[in-house]
Amino acid sequence: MTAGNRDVHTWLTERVATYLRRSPEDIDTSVPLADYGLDSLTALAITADIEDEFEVTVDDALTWDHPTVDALGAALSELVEAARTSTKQV
Amino acid sequence: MTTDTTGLAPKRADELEHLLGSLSDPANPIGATAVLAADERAEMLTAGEELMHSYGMNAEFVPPRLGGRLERADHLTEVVRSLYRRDPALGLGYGASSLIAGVTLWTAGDERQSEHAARLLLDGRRIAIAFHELAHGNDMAGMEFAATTAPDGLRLSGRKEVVTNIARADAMVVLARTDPRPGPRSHSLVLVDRATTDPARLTDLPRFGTVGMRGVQLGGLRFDDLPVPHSAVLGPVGSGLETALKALQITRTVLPAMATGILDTGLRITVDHLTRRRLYGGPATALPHVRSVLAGVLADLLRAEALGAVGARALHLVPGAASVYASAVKFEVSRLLLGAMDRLAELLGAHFYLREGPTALFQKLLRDLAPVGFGHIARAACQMSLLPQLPLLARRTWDGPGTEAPADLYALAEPLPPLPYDRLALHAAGRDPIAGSLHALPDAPWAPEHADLRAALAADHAELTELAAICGKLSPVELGVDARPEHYDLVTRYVRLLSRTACAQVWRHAAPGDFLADPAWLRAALHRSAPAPHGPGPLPAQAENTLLTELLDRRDTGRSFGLTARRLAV
Repeated sequence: MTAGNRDVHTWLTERVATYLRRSPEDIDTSVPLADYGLDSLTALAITADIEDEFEVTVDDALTWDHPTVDALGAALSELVEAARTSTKQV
Repeated sequence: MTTDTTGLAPKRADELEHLLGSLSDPANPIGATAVLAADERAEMLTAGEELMHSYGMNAEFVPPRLGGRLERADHLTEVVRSLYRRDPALGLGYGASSLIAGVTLWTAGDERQSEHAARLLLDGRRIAIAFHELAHGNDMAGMEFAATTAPDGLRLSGRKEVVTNIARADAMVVLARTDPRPGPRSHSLVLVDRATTDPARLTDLPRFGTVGMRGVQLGGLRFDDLPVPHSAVLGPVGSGLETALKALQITRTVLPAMATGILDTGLRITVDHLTRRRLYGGPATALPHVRSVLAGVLADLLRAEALGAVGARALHLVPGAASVYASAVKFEVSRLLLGAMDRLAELLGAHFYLREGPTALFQKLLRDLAPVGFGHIARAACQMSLLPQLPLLARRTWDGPGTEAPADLYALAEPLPPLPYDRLALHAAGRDPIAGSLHALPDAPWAPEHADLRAALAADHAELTELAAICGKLSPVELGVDARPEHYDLVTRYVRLLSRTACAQVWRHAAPGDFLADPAWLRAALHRSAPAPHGPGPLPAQAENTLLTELLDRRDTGRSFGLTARRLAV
């Protein structure tokens, strides 16, 4: 896991914790968000937070295809990395 | 058949109106007498279905690239409105069900599936949309009907219930569970062609009888391990809910907008009756209370059609925000129509209750209107789908200027680009160009005589800011299916502001000389939607007079009461 990766994962865990009004330590990042009460429609809101934070555009169903913090973090790290690379090339 | 891309209504809407003929002519096989007789028998109007076939109504539901005439959602609405004006059962039973199936195909079907479906529709055949299971209502994620994997394809098992035309459709789009686990990736849409499937594994269930739309053939179907090929699945396996949530934004918008045709005729029946009727020594239409109710109903019809038209145009121009607008249109237009028809029923008194005589069609229209509040998606489910979007809308749009829509969104006669099925989104990501236009609206140029309108919109802007402060603090977790009732009220407040803004923008963008450019209707629309604990009260006298004069003039000249003021075959 790179430093960038860890940043994304940490940020995402904190974000989900804020939504759930819990502390980040209480979030099991391998558990589907739905198990915490973030159902399919409410979880969609996270994608907009991701866009604001990392200045990337993500698929609106990102949280449906990657339903845990771990899976979402991995997918997002790739996107953020790809965005950084393309910015450098420009 | 001609298609055209400019204007409030396409020319073919006039051609169809002409073909349908006079509603009041007792000899017309598609007139009120025949419509009522079919309703009494709980049958579809055969002459109406035959005319739909020869007119090629199904082509209205097929995109131009596949040989159809579905160029503009607002024009589609105006064409089908002609059916709702006469026999809503024809609108729903011939129109809506194939349209709903169609939009799922144009959104998720591959070329082969789309071409097959288009060919069926253009040949005048039906495609049913088999989503509903009685046990699960609007809880689509809870559906149990299963598609299990077999070496050579899928096996479908379970029941679909209360589905329009399922017994006489040549094909159907079925929502099936392809994964037993909970979650949004567990369902798929499957196109089932009845001609090529094993009839021994399909059992039609008895027809469901109903209070309204009595001619519509609501049926059910039991599937017993029916084999279908893998190629029957629309889009990737597991994409069923995503496709449904995107594609049905189109139908959630246009179906309630079509139903304004019911109120149009309800209003005409009421005015005709009251002008004939003498009470207390004068015509009933001279009574101040009667005048007030009629003008209020006209204002409600206009704002329902204005919101519907802007919602339909938004599908083309700002598809990414349509998840919000579709639910708002369904929620608000249905509320306006149901309330207005009830007030007309009060004016008609016993005559709304009679199944015979010159007002007999009214009781049918009243019964036929009811499904606008729960059919396809229920009003409460619309609120539920808007709730989790509120915090982002607050943060990204309502909180400050920035999001504006193209002006063509409100200039209703302007042409539109093709429907971008692939740009419909699961959620609006907080982008709401219509309500967002409230930031700049009070500071736009206003004539001095419109100062009251400007003040009303400045107050709306203040309320939007207040709503932003409340909603911005909410967590999406509080806005799921178990959201508190007071949060549902936030949706109602938002939709009220959205609807008022849409009306104001339609007025500002109306062609000079058009009735829509007259401030009277906007004044009435804003008055009727003003927050008041005991209802808005009577309209200001001048607005009431202008609306009533327009109402009687349109009645005398046989024109529609909605946005288009088109000449009808009354």
